[in-house]
Amino acid sequence: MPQPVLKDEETKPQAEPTQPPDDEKKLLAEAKNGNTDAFGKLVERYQRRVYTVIYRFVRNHTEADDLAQEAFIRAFRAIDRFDLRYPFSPWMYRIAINLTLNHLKKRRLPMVDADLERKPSANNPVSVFEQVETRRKVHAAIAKLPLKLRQVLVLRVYEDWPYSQIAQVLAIPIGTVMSRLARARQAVKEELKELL
Amino acid sequence: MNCKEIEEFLQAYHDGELSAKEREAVERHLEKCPKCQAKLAELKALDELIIDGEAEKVPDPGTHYWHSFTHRVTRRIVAHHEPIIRPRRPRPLEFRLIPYLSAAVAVFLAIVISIPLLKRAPAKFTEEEIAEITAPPQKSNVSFKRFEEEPEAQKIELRDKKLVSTDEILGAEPVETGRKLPLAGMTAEADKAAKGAGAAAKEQKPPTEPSRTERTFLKDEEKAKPAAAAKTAEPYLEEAEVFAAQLAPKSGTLRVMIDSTGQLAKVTIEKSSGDPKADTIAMKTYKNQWEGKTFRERQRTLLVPFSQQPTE
Repeated sequence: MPQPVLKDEETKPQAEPTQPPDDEKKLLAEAKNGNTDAFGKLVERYQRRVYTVIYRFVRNHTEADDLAQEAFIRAFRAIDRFDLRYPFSPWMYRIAINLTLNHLKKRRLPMVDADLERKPSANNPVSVFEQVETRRKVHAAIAKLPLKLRQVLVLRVYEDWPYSQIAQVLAIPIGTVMSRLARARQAVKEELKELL
Repeated sequence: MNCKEIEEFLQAYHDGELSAKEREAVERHLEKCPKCQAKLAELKALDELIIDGEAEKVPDPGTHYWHSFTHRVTRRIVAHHEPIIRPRRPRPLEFRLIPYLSAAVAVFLAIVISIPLLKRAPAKFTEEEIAEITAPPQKSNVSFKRFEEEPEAQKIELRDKKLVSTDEILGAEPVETGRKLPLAGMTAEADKAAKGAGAAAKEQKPPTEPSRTERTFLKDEEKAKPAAAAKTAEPYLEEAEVFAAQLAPKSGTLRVMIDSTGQLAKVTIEKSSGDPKADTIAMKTYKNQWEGKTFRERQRTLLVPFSQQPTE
């Protein structure tokens, strides 16, 4: 039985408005005053997206769960510094991604996909083997990337974030996003040359 | 645009980041450039490979998980809400003014409370009050009495001591004759003389520095104060007699001069008793008693009171 996955509309970032919605602004204002219920509603609104981004990097539910919770808690602690004139999601993603990347740095272990060999999507043994092998190589190629390149590639390719949002979340210029993305793609292409 | 320029835009075109104008320019070049088309195809293939190579789509932990996730996050926030050091937010104005308002209220209350007190107290003291304040402290009756009494008692005691000591000098110091208690003797003689219209001659040492003997006597007396209380009673009585003689209307004073050799040089009447006969008897009695004896004192003039009963 295939495991349910998050739908795109649940994980992909919405079109980021320049101004936060009124209800979100209200919730943020209440959260800034220490209202945990209001912040809980924000958590409910963004938990899937934050979890997904984190999962893309750690490839582990337990770690993703822990990091997602920690990201929201840190966001609440730092919410006094949040400017209500800006949307919440880029700020929240930045906290989550920085936390995740720091976690990966500390872990110092190759990014291992627990589902790499366990859940092939085909029943044919040959194709299952090929699929597993392809996944392993792709995964290894991405895991070899420096974090700065990897985070741009993941956010662009997996999360389908626009450059502007990546630049906003990572606090880097769009030109830097483009150059890092080009370098990341070039490096992965070199690694996966035989598969292309 | 040439291929090199297109290459810079190709990734952005692939990612959908170009403006409509830029996109059209790239597409026009792609239509006639297979090399750039191949590069674009590589990009698409790579992304597909990366996406397909993803081991698995992000799993959905389920509704229950998401519900509990929110709950767990808020619970952890509440649990750690206190220790969290939140950056200081500017407090509302009314809270910030509390210290200043408190100080203002305290000053106001101090002024309100002190006004009646200031009104009650006169701005200036009256002359009577100044005099009262600046006057020396009044002695109480008791202290005044004691103050007056104590020197008097001292005076009596000292005079008594001087008298006794002087007598001792006059009586005991003579080298040739033995010591004789003068006042008692003089009083007795005076009594005898009174019978025959005589006078009692008593001597009193003028208020000078106490002699060595006196100092010794004083010292000894101080040492033997409790024990010698009975012994000193007699001189006190004698003192009383002297005073009585002094205060009596017929009392007089002899002026006794002792020369440099310690001999009795001259006895005259310093103060007459009012009765010339009694004065003469007193002088003769004194001369007869002490003439020819050597005194330890030199170059001294003694005033010796005497009393005389009125002659009948």
